[in-house]
Amino acid sequence: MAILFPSDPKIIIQGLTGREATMVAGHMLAYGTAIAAGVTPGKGGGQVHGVPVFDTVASAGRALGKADISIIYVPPLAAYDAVVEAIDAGIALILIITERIPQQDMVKLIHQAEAAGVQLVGPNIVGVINPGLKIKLGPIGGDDPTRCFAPGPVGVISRSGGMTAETSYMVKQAGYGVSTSVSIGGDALIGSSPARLLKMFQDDADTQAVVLFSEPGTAYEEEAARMIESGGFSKPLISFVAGKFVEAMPRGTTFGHTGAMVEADYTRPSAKMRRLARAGVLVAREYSEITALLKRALG
Amino acid sequence: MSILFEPDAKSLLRKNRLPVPLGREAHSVDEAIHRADELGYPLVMKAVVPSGKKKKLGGMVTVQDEAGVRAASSELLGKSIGEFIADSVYLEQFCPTDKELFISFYIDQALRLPVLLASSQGGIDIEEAAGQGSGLIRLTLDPMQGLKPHQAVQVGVDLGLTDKTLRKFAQVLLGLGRVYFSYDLKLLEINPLSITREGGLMAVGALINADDDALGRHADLRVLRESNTDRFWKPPTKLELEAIAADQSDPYRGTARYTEMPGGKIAFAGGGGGASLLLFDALKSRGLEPANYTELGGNPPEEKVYLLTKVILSKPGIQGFFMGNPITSNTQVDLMAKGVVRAFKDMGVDPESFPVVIRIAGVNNDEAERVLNEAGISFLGLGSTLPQAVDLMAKKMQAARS
Repeated sequence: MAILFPSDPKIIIQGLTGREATMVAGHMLAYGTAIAAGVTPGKGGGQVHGVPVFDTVASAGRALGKADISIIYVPPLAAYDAVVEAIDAGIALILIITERIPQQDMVKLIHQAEAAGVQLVGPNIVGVINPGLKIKLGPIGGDDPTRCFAPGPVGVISRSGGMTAETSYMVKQAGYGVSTSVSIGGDALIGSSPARLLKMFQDDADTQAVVLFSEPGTAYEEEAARMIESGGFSKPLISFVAGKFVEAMPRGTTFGHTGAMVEADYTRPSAKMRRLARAGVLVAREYSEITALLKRALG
Repeated sequence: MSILFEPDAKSLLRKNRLPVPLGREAHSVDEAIHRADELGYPLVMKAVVPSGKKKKLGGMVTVQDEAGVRAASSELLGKSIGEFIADSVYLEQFCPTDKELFISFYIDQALRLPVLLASSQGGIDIEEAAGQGSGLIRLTLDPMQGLKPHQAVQVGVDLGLTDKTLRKFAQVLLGLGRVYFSYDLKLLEINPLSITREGGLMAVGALINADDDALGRHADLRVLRESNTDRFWKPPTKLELEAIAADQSDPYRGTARYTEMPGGKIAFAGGGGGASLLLFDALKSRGLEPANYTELGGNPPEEKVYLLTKVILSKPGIQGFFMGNPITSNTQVDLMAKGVVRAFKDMGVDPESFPVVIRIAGVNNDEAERVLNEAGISFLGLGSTLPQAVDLMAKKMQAARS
């Protein structure tokens, strides 16, 4: 069992023929993740690492059947059209690796995905990995995912791409492994919030606890706290919020990711920590405490 | 985000057939007097700075004659408004006003939808407007359709407008909505939107924030001057400008960001946004004040790492160097190591006597270790954690002090 996708998903990569995507696809294949097709307009009929390339998502679908997952690896100003294409093709899960997508494009994409019942993850993410199934979606873990990701019972959700791997590595250091690690993106406007993923981890028999890596800015922790209080997530949740120093900076200052702007009080790291603790979450004051809290939670 | 200066914001509105007062920009007292003659009196003079609070901060004066222009322009030119210095003044025909409205289009990040905020009490700032409660109109917009004509009329009705003014208002509001959506703006705020004595409408104050990520789509916006104010609550320092130049040396590979902190002793570089936030906190909590905030990630080329490391080490008063990277997915850490080693050599940093901690692991791990070992730089690699790196830095700083 896994969250987000079936155990043997059909995966396509939009923008596969690009330099970065080609490298990442090589790493995915080497890890054991099958890629059904790539899509790049005008490059149909070609191949990348033996993976067939089509001009459109619909053409790929006609030849190979509907994909379960599309990974978006196209330039920022082309990302909107690519995601709309994937939504129109009825693909249930769309991971947007691309960063620097215009804000108004993201608002429209989130709106259309919700209307179509499609789940977006991202933008600006390193991807998702399920080491038990050997499914790596995106650059996450790089050329050697086993460095950071061992199979196990812990879910990881992280605003920061780099810290998705590092936090999974902390889980490994604690003697456990991860069920699924999800990079959700550091922007304010993202497709999958922590609360939405917590709900999925709640329903996942392979997940016994979750670690959440947060940053300043946005109301996502407030949303997660409310969701936990209403009984939507009852497994142990370990939280770490980075960027406490930002609170001493003038308002409107952005550090870290673009979503990390401190505005309302609930966007402040200290307020997030208090709010999550009030909802019964195990809040690590220092990053190193994650290990001890995990051991306490999993016994 | 790029804040458009007022003359540019006004010209964008004018280009889109929205009513703005006639205005001219001037860079000297003489030029201001010349422009004032063209415009006629009375005039409003504004310091050209990227701020929506010019009135509050003393950057706005109404003048009646040439003597007034002379006095106001000598006062405003070179004046600090907030953290910004005015290089020019903007002269505008004074607009006799009956009523002032407040209009703002932006994206509500919690709703993840565009929102229109309107108030019948213009001339105040957004925070005050938000505190008004009942007098404030807040309309969530359909991101696919934008502001609809009937919504524009309704907002006017709710603001208490009638007859001809209501129709004119709805037209102007629709035009503003079109500008906001078609230019991918982050913020379009008209404050005040004045109802003139003749019953016309006039966008007297205009604040526009563009989306840097959408500028590639709007060639006409790009020609307007912009100020990269995303990460700066004050104008960039010399080192910050050098860091921007380093980042722009290869704009599509890797990200290098540098913010100078007041004081501090530790030259600091974190690998990417999340790790940098975490490590900055961790250093501070151990009494080690970073001299700067830096994110360096996204697989930067060696040259970028080299240039940025030099910037980081250039701040006076530096007593140690700390670089913490999470285990990387795509960043080639051998290039990071090579860039750092070259910067150390160029700057004459001796890792024997100068406290240095580097945590580095990930893609091309072995080569990075070889490069750092060869240069005699101690580091923590695979098998270490980020908190261990911070602890080691604390230990080294203490040893250096004693």
